[in-house]
Amino acid sequence: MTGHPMITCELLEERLADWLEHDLDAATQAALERHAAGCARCGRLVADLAAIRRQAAALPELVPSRDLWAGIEARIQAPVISLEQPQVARRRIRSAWWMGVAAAGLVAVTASVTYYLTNRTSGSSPSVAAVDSPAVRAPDTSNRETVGDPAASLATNPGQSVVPNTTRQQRPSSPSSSRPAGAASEYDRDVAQLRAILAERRAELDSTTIATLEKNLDLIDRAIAESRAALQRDPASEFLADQLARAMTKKVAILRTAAMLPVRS
Amino acid sequence: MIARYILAGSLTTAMALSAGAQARDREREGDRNTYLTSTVDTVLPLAKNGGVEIRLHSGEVIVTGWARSEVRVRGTSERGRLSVEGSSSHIEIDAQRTRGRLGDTRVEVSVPEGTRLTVSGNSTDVTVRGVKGEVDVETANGDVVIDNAASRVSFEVMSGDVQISRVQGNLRGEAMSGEIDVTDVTGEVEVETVSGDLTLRNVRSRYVRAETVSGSVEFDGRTESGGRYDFASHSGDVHLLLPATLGATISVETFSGTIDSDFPIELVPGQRHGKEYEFKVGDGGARIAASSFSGGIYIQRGTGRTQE
Repeated sequence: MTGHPMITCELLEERLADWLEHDLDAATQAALERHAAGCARCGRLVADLAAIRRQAAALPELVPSRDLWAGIEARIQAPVISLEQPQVARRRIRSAWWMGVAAAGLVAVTASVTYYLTNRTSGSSPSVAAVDSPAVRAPDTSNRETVGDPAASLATNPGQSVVPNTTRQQRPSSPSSSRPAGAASEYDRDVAQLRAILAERRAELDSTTIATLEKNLDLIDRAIAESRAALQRDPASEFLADQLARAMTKKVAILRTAAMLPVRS
Repeated sequence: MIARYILAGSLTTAMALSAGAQARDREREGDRNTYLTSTVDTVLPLAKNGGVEIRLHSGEVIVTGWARSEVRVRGTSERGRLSVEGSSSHIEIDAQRTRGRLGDTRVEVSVPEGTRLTVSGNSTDVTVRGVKGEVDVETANGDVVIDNAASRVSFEVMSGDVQISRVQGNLRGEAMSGEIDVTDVTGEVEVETVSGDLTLRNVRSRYVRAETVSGSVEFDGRTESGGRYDFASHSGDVHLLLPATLGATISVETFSGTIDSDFPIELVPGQRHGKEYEFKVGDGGARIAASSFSGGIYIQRGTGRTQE
């Protein structure tokens, strides 16, 4: 495994970044190269990285579709205040301040969601493969199948094929351990903060916008409640966990959109 | 070049304002190449693949692509003023407040084909046709129509219907309320809404993601081996019209809805979480996932023009 008396595979891995950046002295660089040339494992690693660098260099330059900062700056920038319009000025200052709060809140919420979802996945127990079953294939009499309850279908539709599933995985039950309490409460707190910002901004938004926001937030809250209730009954379901995650992510996206909306004319 | 703009802007603006009554609204801001008027009709040159940015608060924007290398701007603002400002590579059209008021604004713009177009508004309807370039539209309340664009199309709409057609490039968009209708797209597609329906017809792509909370999802298009296609709704139905010669691995999941498929489903035993199935059709090359919490999932063999 080791191709040079002074260089080990571990040392090569440790110094790999510096090597690729040409930040090493010539002697160390040469020693690493000799090791990679004589070590199959390290040679493959270096070859893979070199290929990735070549492919990455060949990628076209990515250009953002729009200058995001310009839009954000325009919305949070403090306006010029006319001394002749003190009431308007006060209101605009508050709007700008709230925009700043909103921006900070968005970062927190985004972080919370990421933390929540990450922990939900990583915090659960290791997955175990579903038990394989032998394939059973009976004469197929029809191409069209209407499926109701899966267990019932399996029992009553002998024409359907049953095959082992080696790709899907079944997670063991993890009712509440899969949802870290700290992350969840942080998410709830951040959502509450964004809701408070939205409540403060009501006067700045037109009635159509407010109605649309409320209607859609209600829909999402319902989706979250339904997913949560179903997940409590069946905590091992990845599908239900995904449904819940989708709805929660969507809720944050809507609140973020609301916090960044421009004031009405 | 700037002098040409000043000249062009001066001439056309002067023509547009010859009605006298409008002259009082015209201002020129010092030495900036900016014209502020309540009515504008002006022509400016724009280089190939240049950019045009339009920002309104409320009203209507109509943008049309044409074969000329110039931009024509015609518009009126009810209470505010219109600003047209630009260089040979980038032109900005803004609606600005007059004494704190703005009102509705209507702008018609003709741009060279291939122009990179950005439109933003609050309560603004946006129609973009024949631009054949990159298009980015944001409006809080308003309908959006984009036809015949290329490279990259994106939209963000809070309340309003969205119609996208003939896009040769990637499409990415979000809406809250309102329907999203996508037709004839060649490129990656990612669309999301909360309470509207999503319809995708004649989509040819290696990557499609369509997601809604309470609306339905309908997909009628081709799939490619190695491509990935995700369709999801919480309480709406998912309808997939797939080619008869389909080669795909399809996974369908629903908690309390029904599943109906023209393709034979090979059931997976031992599942107890709602209704989850994964089955292979043909060579299984494409990956298709359809899910709905309480809606149905319907998979049909396509017979229309999108057949392979």
